[in-house]
Amino acid sequence: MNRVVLLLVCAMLVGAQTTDAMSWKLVDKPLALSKDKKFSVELPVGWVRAIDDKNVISATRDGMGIQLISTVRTKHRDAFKQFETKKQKKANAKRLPNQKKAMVNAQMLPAELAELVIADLKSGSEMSHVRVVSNLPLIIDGHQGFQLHFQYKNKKGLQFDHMISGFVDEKNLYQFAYRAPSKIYFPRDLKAFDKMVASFKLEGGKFNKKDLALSK
Amino acid sequence: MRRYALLLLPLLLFGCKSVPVKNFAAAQETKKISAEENRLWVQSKDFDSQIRKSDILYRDKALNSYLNSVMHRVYPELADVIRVKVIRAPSLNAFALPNGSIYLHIGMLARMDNEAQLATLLGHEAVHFIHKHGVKQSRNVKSSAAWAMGIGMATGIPLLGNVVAASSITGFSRGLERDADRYGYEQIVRAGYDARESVKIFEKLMAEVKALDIDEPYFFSTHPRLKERVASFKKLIAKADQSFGKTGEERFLKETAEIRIASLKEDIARRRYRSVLLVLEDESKLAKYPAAAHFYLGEAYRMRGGKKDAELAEAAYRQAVKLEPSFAPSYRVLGLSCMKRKMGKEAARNFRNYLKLAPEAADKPYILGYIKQIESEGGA
Amino acid sequence: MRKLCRLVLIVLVLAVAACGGPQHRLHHTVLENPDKILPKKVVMLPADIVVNELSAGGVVEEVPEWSELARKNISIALAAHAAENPKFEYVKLPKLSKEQQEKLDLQLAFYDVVGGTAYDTTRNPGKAWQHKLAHFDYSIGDGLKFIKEQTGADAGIVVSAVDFVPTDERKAMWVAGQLVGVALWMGNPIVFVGIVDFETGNILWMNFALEGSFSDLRDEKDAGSVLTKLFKLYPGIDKYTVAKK
Repeated sequence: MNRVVLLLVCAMLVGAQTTDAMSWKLVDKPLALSKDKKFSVELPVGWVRAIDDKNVISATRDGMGIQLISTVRTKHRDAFKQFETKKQKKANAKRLPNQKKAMVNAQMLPAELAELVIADLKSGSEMSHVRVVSNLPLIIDGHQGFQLHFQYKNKKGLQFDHMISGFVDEKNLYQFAYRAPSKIYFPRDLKAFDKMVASFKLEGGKFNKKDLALSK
Repeated sequence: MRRYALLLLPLLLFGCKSVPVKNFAAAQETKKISAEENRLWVQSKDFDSQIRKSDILYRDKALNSYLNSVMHRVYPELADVIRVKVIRAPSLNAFALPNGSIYLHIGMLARMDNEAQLATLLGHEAVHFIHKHGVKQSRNVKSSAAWAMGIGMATGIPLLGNVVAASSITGFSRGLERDADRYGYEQIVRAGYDARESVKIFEKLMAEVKALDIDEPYFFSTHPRLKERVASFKKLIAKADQSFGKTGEERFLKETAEIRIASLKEDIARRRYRSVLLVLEDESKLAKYPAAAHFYLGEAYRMRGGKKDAELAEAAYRQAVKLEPSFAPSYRVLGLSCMKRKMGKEAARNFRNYLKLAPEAADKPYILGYIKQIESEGGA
Repeated sequence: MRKLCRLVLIVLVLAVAACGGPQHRLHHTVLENPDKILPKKVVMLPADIVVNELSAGGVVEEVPEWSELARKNISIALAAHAAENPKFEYVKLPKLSKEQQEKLDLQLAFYDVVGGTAYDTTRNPGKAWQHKLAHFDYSIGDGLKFIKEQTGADAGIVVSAVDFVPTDERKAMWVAGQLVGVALWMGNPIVFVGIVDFETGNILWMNFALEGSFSDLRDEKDAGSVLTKLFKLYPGIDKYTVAKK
């Protein structure tokens, strides 16, 4: 079996994504804009940003195997599609794009959104046994959102902490994620994640600091 | 093409030089295993360790003790060698490792009605260990991979070999599964269980697969098809004499009460509401669950979100409160339901009850926020 | 590295024949103050070595006796290397209590993640990651300090390796393949070695070796030769400073 084939087989078996596979750029100024300039966050200078996807802003200090902070935008109709039943999928296939029924909508309570996120995690094999540490309301760029904190262990018993925050507006679901080993890395880089979430801005969005009083 | 036949020549020349596999008859035989078996035991031990470390075991001493006691009843000669453990996953799965570790998913346990059905499953899984199906399967995989590789190289598509080999790794062959069904059946009869129960577990699973319109679950991916298994069990039962043994329903329901609720909880957490509805919409099954099951039925209706489901959900929550007033989550969802229908006073009352029963609830800040909102709107 | 990480490493190593940076890694504190930072006394931590049989059809299966033999050979080779090239004093790991063993296992699991990421990230750094090569600062914390307290050692050597031994059938198929112009992978031993400071948890030095198909870690000489090759770049400060530019 030649090298390329072995590479493909191993990658298939392991599902690994190596640093090589992505494009990277050193963060030299805090403001990071999405490719279409519709949203922005602040990233720590000196970290390294992945620059491949128009719906994602993500960065890491030491390599994504250790920690990763991300902001992800998803259209309503693309969010949590795995929970659509076959009947729903069939019905949606016949509808026009702007009439498709989605799993999320702007009227959802943050707690309901958080419930979908937990279901999403538990449905996967890697983190199916996450333990929810806390589930709190959070205001993000003036929107009512949520912040989940949970933990899980890998196959060797190493514990990871994971935060997911999010909110939904008229068009999109925005999620903010941070994951790192519980020891040393998670506590050290948590403020970078908090800052990314707190600095999030939608193009034309308003941000009211007083609203932060509700959470924590 | 004659050149490519050369690739298969080494396999023909070397042939199969495997030593015949002898089944375990007693516990002490497990101390003297071949080098080939030892490899599988070491891999199994590694797998056991991973399961333990990744925190997915459902840890309940009393339950484990009960499950192992059923196993010991079916296979007394191999007591303490076969160890039954439970995995905290709601999917319908059970598997045996070559070293005698047997894992049941809570979802699988929750589907059973009595001890006889449990014994059928355990009896089946244990045969994979006793008859060393792991060794036989491993040999099959290697030899099929070798042929597939040879053919793959001859056809010029090298990956084909690996794909063909991989497909047999997902479960035991049909022949080995039939062996496990047949021998396991004989053991549960010998152990004094009602053999008529053995077919019911497969009938249930067949009904669930059909109703939920899913591909057969992993457990059955290379098993003989469910229909075929139901047919073969019926044949065995027809041959049996008429003095059927015990079902052990009462003890089973008592020992597995918590796990059935845990399975519902995991199903709802993963939005597997259809599985929950399939079980709990059947009143005869619902009656065998603890009262908190009504809450999960309500959650399933809420998630389905059909035309009348909001009403059905509320009725289920109210029934949960009536039957088990100390179960906190019922109050939370009633509060949310009332809040959405602008019934502020009742919503706030339910939220307060929830926090009274669960003062350290993880979502307490949300609830306090809702109460505050209701109060500010003059509703509380 | 444990099994899963090991497969990833196989992918990494084979995917990139020639990287931009140096072969080994050095913690920035070593570059800044080598006399103070480089360990004087080291312990070999339990090596994670898996030797697999590679069947004719490409099925890989660990053979525990072979893995044990390879571990023994690496241990002997390390002791011999330390005796002949005393850059540090080599001490054996004492028998640990159950609690200590669990602590060690967890720290090694931590090393798998951190060390694996450290190597992947700096393997082909490009402009974005060059700074991590120049300022390599990976750590697993002080979780192994208890070993220092017990042994007086400053650091631990972590060895992970995977090897593949083709069966006779596979060898025959390889020969047959040569005749018809089809290449068959015969397995390569891949060995990673790292040195972790017990006090700080800093990964002070890392290196890897990818050997030829016919090298065999079950052979004492081959194991010795791999280790000698790996430690040729220890600490390799001059080579590192030049290569990372």
